[in-house]
Amino acid sequence: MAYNDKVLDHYENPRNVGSMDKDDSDVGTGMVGAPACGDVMKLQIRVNDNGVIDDAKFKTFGCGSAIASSSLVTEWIKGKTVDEALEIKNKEIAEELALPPVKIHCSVLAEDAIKSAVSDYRSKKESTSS
Amino acid sequence: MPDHPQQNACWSCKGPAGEGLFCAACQALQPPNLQQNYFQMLDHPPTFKVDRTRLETSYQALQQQLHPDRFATRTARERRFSMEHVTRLNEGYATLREPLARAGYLLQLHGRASGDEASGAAPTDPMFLMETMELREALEAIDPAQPDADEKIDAMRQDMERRVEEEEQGMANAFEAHNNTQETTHLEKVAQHMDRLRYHNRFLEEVERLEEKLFV
Repeated sequence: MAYNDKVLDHYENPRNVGSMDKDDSDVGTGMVGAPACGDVMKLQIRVNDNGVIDDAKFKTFGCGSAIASSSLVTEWIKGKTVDEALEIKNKEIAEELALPPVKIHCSVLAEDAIKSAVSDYRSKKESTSS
Repeated sequence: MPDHPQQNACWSCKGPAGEGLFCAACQALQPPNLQQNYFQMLDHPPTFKVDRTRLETSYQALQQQLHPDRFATRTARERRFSMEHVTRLNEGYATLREPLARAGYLLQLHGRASGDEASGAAPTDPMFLMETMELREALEAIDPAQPDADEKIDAMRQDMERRVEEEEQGMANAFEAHNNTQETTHLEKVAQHMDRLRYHNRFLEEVERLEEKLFV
């Protein structure tokens, strides 16, 4: 399948690849997978005292569209508040990358990764504040 | 005949064709019986644990009887039936031979989605995903230039093959529990094992890709 230029760009020059310390209380780790194809995606956010995501990292083992979706998402969520990040919908990701219908699930995975990272971050904050 | 009230008429001689592949009266090849499931077609009980030798023997025997080469000089209709038979036979054999495909097919026979995209299985356990991610990272961290790279890769492959066996055993147990109790929760479990097995298969594909790179 021919990949669209934006997908290729993220695939060849992925932004923000890497890992953060998942035990850090400011870091939320999202871990999602696509059982139908075996792709796994890890998305980590670091949230500052103002509730703003000041850094994001990802690691994805999957196809080009999955890598591009997660790479794009790390760019988008940096500088956003946690609540703003949660507003990102898979449809926007798919549109930005012009994903074909068979690759829509990759953008769904990226959206789920944000939710999963935020919920991990929030549950950490709750357990430390109580 | 009261014994065979539903006897199929042969397309060629119009007489009773019988239950076989060929008409009992005129020997013309009959179309595939789509009412038969793959297990019936390959003469094997519909179980997750299969006797591979038995499957292969049935497959070879049918392949020999139905192969299009045998029908080169027969009617166009028989040539087409032969193709249809062999296509279905190959699909069936491929499905039953491979544990993941076989499990999905059995789920279908039990009236459940085949465990593909719409498996409806509960989301995969985050701890499992974490572990999968760590294993993928460890595999990626192996430097192919190092002299012991092949040993490391081999060790990871063996570790993964053990995990694959565990999932297959888990599927076998869940199917057996379902057979004993008829409770659908056991089929849920099968779908979960299938999900995990797909992640493992992806890992093994990656191992294969690495090994190819290493040994060229």
